[in-house]
Amino acid sequence: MSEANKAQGEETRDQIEGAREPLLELRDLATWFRTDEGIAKAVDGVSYKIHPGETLGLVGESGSGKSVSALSIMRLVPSPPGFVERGGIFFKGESLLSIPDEDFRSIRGNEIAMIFQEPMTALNPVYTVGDQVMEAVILHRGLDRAAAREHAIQMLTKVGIPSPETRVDTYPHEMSGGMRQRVMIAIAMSCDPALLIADEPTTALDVTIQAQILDLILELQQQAGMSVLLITHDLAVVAETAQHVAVMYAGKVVEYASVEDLFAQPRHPYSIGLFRSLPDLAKQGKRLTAIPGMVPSATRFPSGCRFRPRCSIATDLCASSEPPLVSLEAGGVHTVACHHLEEARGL
Amino acid sequence: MSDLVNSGNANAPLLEVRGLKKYFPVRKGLFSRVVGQVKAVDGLDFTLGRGETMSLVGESGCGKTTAGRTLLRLLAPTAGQVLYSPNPEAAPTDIFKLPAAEMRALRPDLQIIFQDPYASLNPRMTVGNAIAEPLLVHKVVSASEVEDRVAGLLERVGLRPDVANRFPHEFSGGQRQRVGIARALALGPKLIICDEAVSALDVSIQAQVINLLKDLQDEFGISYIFIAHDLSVVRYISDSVAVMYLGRIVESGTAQQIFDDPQHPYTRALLSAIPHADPSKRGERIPMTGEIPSPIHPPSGCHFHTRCALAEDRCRSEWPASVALGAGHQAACHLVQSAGTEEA
Repeated sequence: MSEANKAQGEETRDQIEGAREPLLELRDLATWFRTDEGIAKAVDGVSYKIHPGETLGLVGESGSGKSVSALSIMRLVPSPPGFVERGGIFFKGESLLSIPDEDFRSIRGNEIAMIFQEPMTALNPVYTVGDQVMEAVILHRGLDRAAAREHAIQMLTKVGIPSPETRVDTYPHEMSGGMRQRVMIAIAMSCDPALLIADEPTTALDVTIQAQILDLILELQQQAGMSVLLITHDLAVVAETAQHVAVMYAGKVVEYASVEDLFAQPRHPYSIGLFRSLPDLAKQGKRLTAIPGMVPSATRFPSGCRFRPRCSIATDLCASSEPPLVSLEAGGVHTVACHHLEEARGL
Repeated sequence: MSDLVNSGNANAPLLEVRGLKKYFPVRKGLFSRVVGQVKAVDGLDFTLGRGETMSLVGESGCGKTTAGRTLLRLLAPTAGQVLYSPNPEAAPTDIFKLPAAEMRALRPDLQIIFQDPYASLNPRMTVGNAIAEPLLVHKVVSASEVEDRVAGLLERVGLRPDVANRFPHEFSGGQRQRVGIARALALGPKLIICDEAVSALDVSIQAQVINLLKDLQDEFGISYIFIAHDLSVVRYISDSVAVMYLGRIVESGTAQQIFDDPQHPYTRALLSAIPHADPSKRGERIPMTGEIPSPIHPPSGCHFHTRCALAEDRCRSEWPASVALGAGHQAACHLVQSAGTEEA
């Protein structure tokens, strides 16, 4: 694709998507960590947008930087050793990185809420479930305890917890994993956030409970019109819930597309490899096509394209220059960071 | 289902499990009086063929892990028989009846790999020593040959032999699972129980480990019992599948029968809950309300009736017997039709 073409492509895309103001935008965000082995570039130049009411699926393997990008939005990256090296995070057009800590508290848990993979470690074991659901509305909405308790019972009802009037006084350890995740969602939803960040919300759950939780998030999203940033390693979960997908590898977004386009035809060699690794798409008895090697350490990313050492079509160009994310066609949403898109078609 | 009372039959299964039960006492009070039983595994029957893979699937708390551990006598069984016939020409031995010394002699045949290899490897032991340990305990090789054997095993599972001097924390999750496999492989097992062995791995690494397990099966004729909740992996790897619910098998059959033609309402709901890696197939789910009930007070009759959309009065009072649906395919449900007519 020529430079002119590329520029034109991005312009048209901006025209299309620019019509709607994104709720959240990451621009070239880099979150690094100082470690004994040097600087770990966990997130290294990541850009993505989430529009109102949309679900963006962020997929990638452990160490790809997907969780760190979310923690950066919530300002939950432990510092030191973590720090934002460059880039910006914009929420409703406002730069989150330039807001002082005290003011950010009115956003975290209120306008942007987050749920985590392991609800048992995210919930406080010495407080009742009710206390924890009440905390956010007392803090952000100034409700008194009685009103907050009523609100908590309403929230527990909303997330499908049976007999919420008694459950409100129980402790997290008295609940099953699925119920705890419902409580986490009740806490996250209690202030009607504009954006819910869900970091592997169903990974620790049974497939039946996973289906219930994903349906619940979808239902609440439709009622409230909120946006969801869904972080997962499970492509199937993304296929079920998201409108757009960003595939991350080694601290970078390597491909971004609508869920239909990505699943119909992934274009980056890494995305292609991920899909090939899925047992549910493979014929029984046929060998799975695994991606050789493993994700490089964040302190020792290879030069040029970071997927190069595991890529079967890599050339000298891939070692010397880093491929930028470019639109596949003028005005298209689908962007890929690969020097050899034509060759990748043959994979 | 094959009802072979096997002696001198080359097709005899490697393992035949009959009426396997494992109850845990519920104790209460000052004198730890036994006030009840948790019927974690309540009467399992299945067979496992030579060089085949059988999967036990179900939600957490269904008893699949307890079943695997009881089979290997890592937990003391409450009742049942596990007929093991390493040699198809000889009569099988009941693992549960073996005295401790003979059971110990049989241990090399029967291995297990766990979900979290980090928790199952000693952090202070080099992986070389961890793999060498079973070889030395069972006196399979002499101390002088051990290093060569460990190097060979590491190579076989796709690790460089020089990693033998490293400690578990220096490895990634996928590499640690390879170490776990090398360790299980060291004694030349006939059966490996894989308890969520690939569940914690990233998808690209998971594919590498699944391929390795399959290669080892082809090479050494190992049988696997795969305990897993990821049904897409199960579908891919299994010859046969048994679906468990609250300690009992509700449906069993070949992988094809279970996945393409599930009959039990629980199997159908479970399968429909799997997300598809295909956005055009969104949301075709059979709703299943609630969660698996407590095994201390399982529901009367069919255990599944509290969550079953089709439950009738009979389901609340009477446990359904297994109905044969076709070659090797059976389901325990009052509402499924015996396949007698179809088969004839």
